[in-house]
Amino acid sequence: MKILTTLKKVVDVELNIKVKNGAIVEEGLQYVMNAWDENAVEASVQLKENKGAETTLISIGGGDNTDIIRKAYAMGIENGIHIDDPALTKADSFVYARILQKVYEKGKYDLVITGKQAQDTDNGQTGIILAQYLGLPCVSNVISIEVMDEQHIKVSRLGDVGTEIVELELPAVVTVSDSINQPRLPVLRGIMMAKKKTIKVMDLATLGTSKDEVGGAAPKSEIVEFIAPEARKGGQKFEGDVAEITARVVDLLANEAKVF
Amino acid sequence: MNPLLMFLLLTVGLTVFGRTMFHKIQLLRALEPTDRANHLKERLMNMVVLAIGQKRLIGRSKERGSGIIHAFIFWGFCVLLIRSLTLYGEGFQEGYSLPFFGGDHLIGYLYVALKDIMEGIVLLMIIFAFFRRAVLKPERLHNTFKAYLVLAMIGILMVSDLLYDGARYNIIQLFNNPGSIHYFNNPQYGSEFLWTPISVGSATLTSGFSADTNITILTIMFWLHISTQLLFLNLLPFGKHFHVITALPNVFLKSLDYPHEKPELLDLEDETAWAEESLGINHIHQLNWKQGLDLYTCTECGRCKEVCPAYTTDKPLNLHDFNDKLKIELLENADNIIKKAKLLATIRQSEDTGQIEKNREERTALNSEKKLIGEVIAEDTLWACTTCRACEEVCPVTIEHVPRIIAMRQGQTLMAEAYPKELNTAMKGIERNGNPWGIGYDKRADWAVGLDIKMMADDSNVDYLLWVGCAGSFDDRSKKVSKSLVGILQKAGISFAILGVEEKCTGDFARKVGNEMLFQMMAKENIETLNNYKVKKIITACPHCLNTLKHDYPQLGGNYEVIHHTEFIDQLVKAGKIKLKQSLAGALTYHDPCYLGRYNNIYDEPRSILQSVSNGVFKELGRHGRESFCCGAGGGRMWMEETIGKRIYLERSEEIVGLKIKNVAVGCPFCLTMIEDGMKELGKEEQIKTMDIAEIVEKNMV
Repeated sequence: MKILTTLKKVVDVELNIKVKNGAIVEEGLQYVMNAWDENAVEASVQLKENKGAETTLISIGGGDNTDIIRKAYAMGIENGIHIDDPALTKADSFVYARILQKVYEKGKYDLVITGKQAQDTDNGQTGIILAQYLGLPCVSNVISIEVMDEQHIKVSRLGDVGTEIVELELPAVVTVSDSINQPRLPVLRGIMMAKKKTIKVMDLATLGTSKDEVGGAAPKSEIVEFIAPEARKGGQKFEGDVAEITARVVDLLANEAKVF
Repeated sequence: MNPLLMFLLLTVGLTVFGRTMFHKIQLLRALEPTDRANHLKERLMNMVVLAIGQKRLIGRSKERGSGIIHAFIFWGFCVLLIRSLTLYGEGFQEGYSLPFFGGDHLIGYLYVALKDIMEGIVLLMIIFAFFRRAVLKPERLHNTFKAYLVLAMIGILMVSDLLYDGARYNIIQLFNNPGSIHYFNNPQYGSEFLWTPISVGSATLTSGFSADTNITILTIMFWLHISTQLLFLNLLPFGKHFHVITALPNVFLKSLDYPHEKPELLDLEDETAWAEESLGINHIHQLNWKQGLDLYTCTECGRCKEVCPAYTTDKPLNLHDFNDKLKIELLENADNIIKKAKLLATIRQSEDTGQIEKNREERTALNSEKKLIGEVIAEDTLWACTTCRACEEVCPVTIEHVPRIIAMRQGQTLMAEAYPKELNTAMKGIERNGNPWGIGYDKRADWAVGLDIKMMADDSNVDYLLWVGCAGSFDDRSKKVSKSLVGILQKAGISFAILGVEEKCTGDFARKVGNEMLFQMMAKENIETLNNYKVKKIITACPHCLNTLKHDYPQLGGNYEVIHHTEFIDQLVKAGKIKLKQSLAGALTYHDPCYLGRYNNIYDEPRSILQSVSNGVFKELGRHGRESFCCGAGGGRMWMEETIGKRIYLERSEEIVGLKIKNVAVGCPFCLTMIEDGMKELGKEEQIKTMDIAEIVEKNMV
């Protein structure tokens, strides 16, 4: 079984993200693996360990992604591809999906595992669009993957009203939830091994496509402006006579906050 | 008496014993190296105080009874060594005495008097010990046949010697010495009996018999004594009584690092090391020889488990079992380990690469098939340890449990990747954002906003760096402690600054859970920052940060004077820079944090501060000072769920509640969290206030 896993580099959302003139201030930011992709990597590695699957990882854009790809290697991924091209600065989910389609077609994979969404944009579309482009079955928000035989997998998906069990014929695309597993923290052995491995870095031309073909020239969506969420205001504290305070609070709620 | 028989007995006894010891020592020599051949004076001092002085046996009030029993048996043995040599001599030549111990020397008389009294005391102690084992049955003791056998043998040694002397007294005094029995080879022989009341007393037991019978009794008792002694000697190496031989060297060779041998600074770039799985302890042959000697020496007295927060709350960690299992595994692999060492010596001398490769393979084939963790020691056992060091503090023979546990965790984390996965979040947190909560590093100094605190980046020309620590920076409860501490420092006019967003977790818990890689990463980054600002003196409110900065960072080139805030506040109070008023109402107690007390010997300063602010009674907890009971958060346990047994923090909190006090002071952010949680869970949050000493001081400053 050949598995293709996606990995996006995202800004560490634990940090305060500052916006200036409609753009994100880069200073002081740090970038990490998208958390859901970490789950996808872990799921792939588990299939490698338990079912002897061959694992390949693809990361798109982001400039220098060496750190996160090495980390995925250290977790157990075998091959890594990084597609980077100046044309990708404004790429959206459709562009990513097109590139993934190209990679998929070159490699003939049995299963594509992606995180169900990325922490930075929270769109949750890439995996599903990819399935559409490839004409493959797709299940999203997957919380477990079980290999039935060479051609079939059984996945469970967290739906609105309970867990859905779905049998899929391979090849297929699944997007995974963060409750599918607890990603391992790569330690010594993995990290030492990862240092020796190479990453296949390609631009669009090397991949055998072009900016136009993947839709990079005219993305279907474009981020026009970033707006920082309004900072939460501190509460007000009232002290003194209870009757007096109650009257004041009612007055403030009615006239200032206009809740009734 | 009978030179031939004596010769035979000694030859057989000592040859067998020699062979056994040769094998035991050979095994130790085949284990990994560790350097203990230094600081002779300090080592001798340890041996005098801890081993000969029996400090940890008689020094602990809780264990004084059994301590005294043991101490006198031990001292009795020491005294009787000279007697034994005399008896061996007597076997060859009647009336033999050691130089200066004969009848023409006062020292000889003094010695027989001492020996006589000691034998009486030892005999009494043996009776107490029997009674204790058979009737009182303390929980910590393993009652085995062998334990009784050893007691019985010591009893036989004492009784036979006393009866021997008694019979001799009768022969000389009652029967005019028909057989010319000497003790001291001198003209006044017999006069030593004036010095030996117990022997003379025991003479009455056989005074009714004839001279011949007394001579027979004397002969039997002599040979019984000699053969019991040689049998005893030969039994010692095969069980817990080996400590009779190994305890003194074990104490002498104990680590002089404070507080125990530091985790080895592993070379993580060494590719052969991880290819051969030689980082940490994964298999029995990876113990160093001192750790082997520790296993020989463990007396299974059980003091360690009695004070262990994990054992006492029903976790599977039982340290004397732990030692015992390792010892069995060590002895089972003894021959292979010795062969491995021989092969290594061959490899080192050989230049033939083909031969070296072959020997290497042979060596690998000799490794124990058992993984230490999982097959000898259960995983839950290994991870239950809070690294509180209570066990090491009470161990009479100074066994170092904690460094060995950390080395085994290194094996699990670095090599086997079989550490508790729940640690991932915290480890990832420090890797990415420099704190175990994983909160954005850019928020590290948010607590300090508006407090007019200098940042090192703006002005590093200050006297002290205030090391805030992750808890003090990110944990809401501990942030209050940081603010209080800043208030005190500002009031005292201290010139200080913080690192702000440049500070990162010291790596304490990473190291304690065996993630040496993460520890070194954090340490290197912090040391670079600190050295960049030429930091000399550091104040911190976190004992874990304190310990790591002070004891672990020098291994990586970070040398600073690190002061805990309680020490610093105490200095400020004593120098009159801050004045306290005794306005803290209600009875008060103090919970000693392990990493402040046992790890860094700071016990008095917090108490001194508390005495100056409290107008209530200061009550000590039952378990305090060196024997303080852990809150349960050390050794990375802060970041693991406690799913087995009773929660350690509840055990401690109940003890605090039982003291009927109004305030409990702590000096560690983890203790603060644990104890306060305990109070909440016990519904005592309102009645008993849990506070850091800095908070108490800030509220009670003039």
